[in-house]
Amino acid sequence: MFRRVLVANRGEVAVRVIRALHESDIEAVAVYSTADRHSLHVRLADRAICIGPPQASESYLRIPSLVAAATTTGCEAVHPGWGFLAENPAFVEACADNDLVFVGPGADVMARMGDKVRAKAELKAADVPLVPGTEGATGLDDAREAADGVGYPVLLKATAGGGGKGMRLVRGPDELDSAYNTAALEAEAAFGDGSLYLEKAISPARHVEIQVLADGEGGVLTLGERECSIQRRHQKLIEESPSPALDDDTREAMEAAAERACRTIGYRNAGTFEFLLGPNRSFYFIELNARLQVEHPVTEMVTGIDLVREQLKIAAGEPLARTGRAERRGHALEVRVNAEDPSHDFAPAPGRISRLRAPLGPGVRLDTYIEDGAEVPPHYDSLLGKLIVWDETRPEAIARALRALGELKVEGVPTTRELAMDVLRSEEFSSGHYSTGYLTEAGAQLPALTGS
Amino acid sequence: MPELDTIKAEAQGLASSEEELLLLALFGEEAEPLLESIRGRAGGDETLAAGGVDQARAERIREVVRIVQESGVGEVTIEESGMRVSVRRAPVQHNPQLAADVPQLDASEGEPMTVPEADGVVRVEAPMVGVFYRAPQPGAPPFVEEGETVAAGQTLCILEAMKLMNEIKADSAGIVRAIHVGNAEPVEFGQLLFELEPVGAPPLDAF
Repeated sequence: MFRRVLVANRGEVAVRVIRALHESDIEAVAVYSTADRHSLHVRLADRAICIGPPQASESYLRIPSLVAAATTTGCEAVHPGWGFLAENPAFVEACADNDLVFVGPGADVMARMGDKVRAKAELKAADVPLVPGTEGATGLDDAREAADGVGYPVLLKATAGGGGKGMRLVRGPDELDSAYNTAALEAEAAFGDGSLYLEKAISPARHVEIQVLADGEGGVLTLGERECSIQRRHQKLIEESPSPALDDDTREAMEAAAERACRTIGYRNAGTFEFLLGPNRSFYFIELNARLQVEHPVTEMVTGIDLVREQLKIAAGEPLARTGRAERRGHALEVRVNAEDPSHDFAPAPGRISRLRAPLGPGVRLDTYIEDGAEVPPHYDSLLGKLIVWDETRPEAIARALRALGELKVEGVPTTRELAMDVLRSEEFSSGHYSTGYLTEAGAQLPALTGS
Repeated sequence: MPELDTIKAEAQGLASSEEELLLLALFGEEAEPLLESIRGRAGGDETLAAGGVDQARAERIREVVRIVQESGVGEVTIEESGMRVSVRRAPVQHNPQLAADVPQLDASEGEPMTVPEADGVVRVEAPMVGVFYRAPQPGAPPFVEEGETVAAGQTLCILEAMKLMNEIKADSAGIVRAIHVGNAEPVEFGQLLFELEPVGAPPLDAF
């Protein structure tokens, strides 16, 4: 095992990784920008290196600075956390070139999975279901034929695109021609490339993902799913495991697909396969997150497996102690607490935490970097931390989450705490019948969103 | 700047000396004990507020200082009947609280951050994490020695990050007064490397 590891990140995930390092008797070296000089991770680490000014491009995203921080302090490995350089193949290569072990997958598989078209092709080869549609660009006539084949509604998407530009929902054959033409014009204007592809619109859809650990020697452990359909503008707000939408057969089919994919693509370390789950329990691969995820504690709570410590063991070359399906017990919920202002359309609200009262008691975990007097700098994301609860059953876990959120007091910046409580109390959430559209549709009536 | 008019209006009729006002403005709470002790020596126990500099006005003057620091404007003068307040840019490094407010040069690759001190000494700080080398290669004579005069643009040292050698050059001419890092030692962003005494330039001061 390593003796000293660089934590190439900040905030909550840096704190999380430092904790795992210390529990594994490994020294932690933190990095920080001048905006984070007094942040918790700097003080928890055994050493901390200032790597640059506040702007991330000059500090947390600057590969030479991170590599130099690791090599000059005698680190053997680098944990990237999530965000910043966690899925940057150039960083993985830079670590290798400087004899640093990157705690994560190899640069090659990371680059392949970062290319969405390539990732889908490789996953298809592993017999993982993809959203049905055309493979690559399609003309109008072929689009019509493909739409008849997969069934309406369908989505037209720009091959060069992203961010919803050049994308059209088509409900029936009579809408196809005009939707195709406007989407193509929009794509041409936005990306200089008007080519479109077509896929079946999965609606209502749920976002369900499978956590895996792979040792790169053929050993794969799947750790069940996380249900992440409570989203606001594609940002996850509440996650839970198990998903109220999965039966045992569907769950097993998804875990088996993820396991096959790991072997086919040669995956190593922790990863998450994201799927869309359709109304008839059909599931479709969207993408692979080749890193630790924000919502990983949900899985840790139901499996009892520390994912960060497992990541370190895999990176150090240890084979997985357990493979196949991880045992799980009970129900876990995670609520993200962001520094955002509900009265200003949830705009990020940096500032100084004048007071924090953390919830305590049975089955409660709070992963955060904030404390009394902590600064929330404007330069980075608004995630303050996550409240995670565990209980035997889903209704008990919801009650426990509400109890713990009631204890949580964050003063100094506005937060998403009330919105989360509204969601947890809602009929849709407690019934388990919700989809990714919940917060924009039914959830739009929640008091925290209407300001009442 | 509309704030200046407001400040002008607010400042009218202030009776305290401008030195004291500026002490308060530049050093905030740090200056209060000093001013209190000055007033104590004068025989009365009148406080700052009782002496005519109430908190709101002190805050206004702090704002002027902030404007000067943030805008990059060299100097702001407010003149009213019977008084005149000038705030001139003079970054001071002795006080860490104040140092945090001093505008620093943006560090781009290989460009040192140079911060002038009140006594005229220029601090050259590391613009990146890396290993500090005083010479171009092992065994070669150092780029500079203490006591030497360097020209603007002259290489002071090398910072190595990821096997890339980044030459750190002097922004302006000066005499090397101190070298704060030993050869081959690692340095962090913002770490003090050299102190240079400028040559051929008038010293910076507070007034």
